[in-house]
Amino acid sequence: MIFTKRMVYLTAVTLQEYSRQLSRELLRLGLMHFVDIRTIDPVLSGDSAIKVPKGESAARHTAIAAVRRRVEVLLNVGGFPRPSIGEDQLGHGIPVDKDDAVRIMENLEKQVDKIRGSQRNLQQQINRLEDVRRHLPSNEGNRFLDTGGITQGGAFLQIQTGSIPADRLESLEQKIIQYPAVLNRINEQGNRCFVVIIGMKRNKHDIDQILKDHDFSSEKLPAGSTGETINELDNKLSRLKEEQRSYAEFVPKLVDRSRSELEQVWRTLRVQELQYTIESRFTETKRAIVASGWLPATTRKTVQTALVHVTEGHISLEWHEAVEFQGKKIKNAEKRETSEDHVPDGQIPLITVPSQLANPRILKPFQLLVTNYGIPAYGTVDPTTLVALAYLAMFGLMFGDAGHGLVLILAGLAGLGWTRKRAGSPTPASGLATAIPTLSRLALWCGGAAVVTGILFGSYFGMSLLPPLWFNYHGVVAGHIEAGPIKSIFDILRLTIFFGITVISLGLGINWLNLARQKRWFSLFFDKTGLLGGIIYGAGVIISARFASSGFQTLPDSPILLSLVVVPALVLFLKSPLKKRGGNPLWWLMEWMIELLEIFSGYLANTLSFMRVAGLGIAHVTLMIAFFQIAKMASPEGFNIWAVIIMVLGNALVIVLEGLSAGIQSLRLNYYEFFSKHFQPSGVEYKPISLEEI
Amino acid sequence: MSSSVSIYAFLNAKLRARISTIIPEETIRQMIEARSFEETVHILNSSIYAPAVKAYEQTGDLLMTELEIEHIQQSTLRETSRYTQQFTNPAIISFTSMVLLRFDLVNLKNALRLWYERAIRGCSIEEKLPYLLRSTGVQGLSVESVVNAVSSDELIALTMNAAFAPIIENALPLVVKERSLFPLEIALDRWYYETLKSSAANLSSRDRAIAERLIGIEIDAINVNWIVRRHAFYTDGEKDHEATLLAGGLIANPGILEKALSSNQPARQLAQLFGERMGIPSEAPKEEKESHTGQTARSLAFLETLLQQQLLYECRRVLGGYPFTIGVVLAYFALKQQEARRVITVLNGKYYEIATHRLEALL
Repeated sequence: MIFTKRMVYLTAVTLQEYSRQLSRELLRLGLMHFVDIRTIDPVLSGDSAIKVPKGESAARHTAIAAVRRRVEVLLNVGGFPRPSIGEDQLGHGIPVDKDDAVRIMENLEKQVDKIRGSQRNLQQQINRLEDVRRHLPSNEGNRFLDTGGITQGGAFLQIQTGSIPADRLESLEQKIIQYPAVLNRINEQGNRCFVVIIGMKRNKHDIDQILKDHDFSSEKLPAGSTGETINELDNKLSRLKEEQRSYAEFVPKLVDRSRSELEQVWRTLRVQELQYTIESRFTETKRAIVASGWLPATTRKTVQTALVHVTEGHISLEWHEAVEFQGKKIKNAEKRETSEDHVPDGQIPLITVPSQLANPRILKPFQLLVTNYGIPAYGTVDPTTLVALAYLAMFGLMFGDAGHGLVLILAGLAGLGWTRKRAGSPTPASGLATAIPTLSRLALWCGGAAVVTGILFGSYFGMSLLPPLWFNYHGVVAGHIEAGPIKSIFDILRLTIFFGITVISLGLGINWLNLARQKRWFSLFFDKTGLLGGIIYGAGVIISARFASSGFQTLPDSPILLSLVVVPALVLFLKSPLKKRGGNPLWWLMEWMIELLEIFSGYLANTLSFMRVAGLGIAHVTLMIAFFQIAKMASPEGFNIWAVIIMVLGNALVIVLEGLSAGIQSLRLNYYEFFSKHFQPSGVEYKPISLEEI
Repeated sequence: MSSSVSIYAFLNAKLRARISTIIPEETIRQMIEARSFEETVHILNSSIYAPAVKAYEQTGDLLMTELEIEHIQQSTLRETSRYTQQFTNPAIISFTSMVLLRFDLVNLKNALRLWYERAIRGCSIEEKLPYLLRSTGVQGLSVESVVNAVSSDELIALTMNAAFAPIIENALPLVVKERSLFPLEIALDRWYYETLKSSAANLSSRDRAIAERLIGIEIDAINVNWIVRRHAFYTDGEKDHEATLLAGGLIANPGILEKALSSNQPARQLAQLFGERMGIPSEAPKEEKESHTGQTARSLAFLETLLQQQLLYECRRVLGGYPFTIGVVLAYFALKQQEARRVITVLNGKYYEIATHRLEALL
């Protein structure tokens, strides 16, 4: 939790015949971050006996992945999420042959295609009828509508009433259906059938010809016949749409029938795919295979036992501590830093130990803030816990109101509820929706911090419902407080500067620890954030504090303090000559002066930057005071509805605006003032291949 | 007077955020490599086009899916005018409206094509009509009335209140006489680009320069498109090119194009001309015979694709430069149009089972 997790490097060599067992066991364990052994060991990189597999695993992997994706699409079409895989799938899953899986797919796809074809035909009928419908008036009053009643859009329509021989009705219907037209049978008299036909004028010629072919005789029909026809059209449209709906619903049902089979196929294929992924990372000799990669040191025994077991003891395991490679890397890196000669990249072994951040699940939102900036280099401090503390302290100081904090907690809970509800959805979240789970958890934390500071400041929706446990923020900003630890805005500003000094000092301390662990002694002493820079900063802080306490009148005359600034500053002059071992002294002088300027101005700016914590806290309180004033002006004779509305809207505005500002500024302070002092974002994330991999 | 920063700050942030959500190349690749049409469609599920997937699931109809994609694209782009109205000045508002008018014109041209098919050529349009985008009207003109117009006189009467009424009035008799819609489409494009250019003239000098450059490439692409269509569909392709081509192209003006077209090897000449000016080696056939019209058309189609790529290159250049210009709006429009075009091309390609390499060549 304090440092990235200790890693060990494993080289496992076994016979080719154990390849499947080894890959399956490594997948079950899900612990190995694979690397190509030839990139680790420069000697082996030139060994022609060791080579990558012939690409068979990669080819099989591609073929299986394609089938697996097809299964996934079918599940998606059915509205089902991607299934999860348990360990039991490895040993006891129903074996599925790729070709069998393809056959299952094709059978189902054919059925889906057939349904799509029916949907298409149906849609064309719907389209034709809708073309007529959009030119007709609404249902209301249609009952007694006659031809003359259709005016709206009627310019495009042709309405014909009359009779045809009853035995020709079916034939006429078959012809008419091919046009955007509706035919309604009104009644029958003798062998004649009375009909209304509504079609588009643009098809007049064709429809007239069809009617003529069917011995149509134009006749006036009773009032309301046209209205009935419109109702018939509506009914027909409803029926077709219902049918279309049932087709659309049938597809998921069809998939559902094969769901368990599909899920089983998917799981088996996924396991095979992952196994082939692992096997494609193996290197091989004529008879043996080599698996190499990084594992957390704590898992060494478990992995050893498991691998020996699955290979029946026919395995050679070679373990190395990360520090062995880390040393090499630093040596190479330093060479590259100091040498003027060009070293081709290919000749430098790229050894990077992956970093695993082992934080409790509850701290995941803060871990995300850290990894968003970069992955900490292996062996350095994982700042997640410190970021959580600093972030929440800053947020709390800027957003100190228990009521507002409670609203944030409720918003966080709502976000988590939404996430849980959406968990079974087949469609993956996109855009901002992907960030909702993390933002919700962050809102819970921030809300909690605001509740705590709100209680400390005695602030509840801008009101002092309970006495403060620390100091009355509202009272201080409003100028009502004359006693206590914090009496004025300047005290709040001073408080945040001390807070900033603490954060910066913590950052420097972490940096020294990181550099000492990495044995980078030169950087430890001579970097801006090294020991010399730290001493100058510390002395500067004391001098500034004494200067401020004298009412900005006199600088302290302590020779010790002075020497704590001057001596490190002079020693820093040695940085360039020691680093470059040669060169122009004028350049050394220039670099020294720039370095000093950066140290003095940089540290000053970094420290004063924390005044924004006070600034936003004061803004939060001031806004609430302003809304109280407005509410008071709106209700001079007591609290009325307007005052309530103003206060509700005011609180909402402050929560949104200040919540966002405080969140962003806390992040900014962590990234720029805290991380810049110690963070080495040059790490590589530890990514083992496991069943959980998406 | 407002600075370009204050004018474009919001628009720039908003549109850049939207540009970042454009379907990436990787997704297009996944769509191409999908094993079935069903899979291709469902890849769009996590994109802005998810409603189009829904439309497909509900109708099983590719054309309905396309219609939904076009609808989404146009509605998304029309939102831009809301942003310009809030934060920019009248010149930019007017220019953006003019840019957006192209979609109305596209819809109108589609309606005119159906009208022409029905009223002039006497063909049935019933299979195509439902797939006409009906969401908007063009300057008070409904798509329905255009398609259902009985005669060209009725069509002229219908469009009398539109800004492009004289264009319709002049070109329609020619359409009827020549039994070709080409003169009307050219006239409408000419009117649109001339109006757009005059609208761009009111922009600030920096904006004007960017707008003219990007519009110039569009004009080049349109000129080449016309040439392609002439070669592919019309036998009198060689005559009267200059009269049809638009002025204001970035790479070639009508005079130069005309000269290239009047040569014995038009495709080669054009490919060389554009290739030289764009710094791309020509891929036109070395030997070109008059009878090889198919080959010529293919070469010209390739040139058209090349110009689309040039437009995208210009968009990226604009987006990589000074951010507070009209360039961000035009680049957004171009990229969104390209996105929809690519998605629709891939969907069609997969539906009609076109080979992957041929499909890739069409993108």
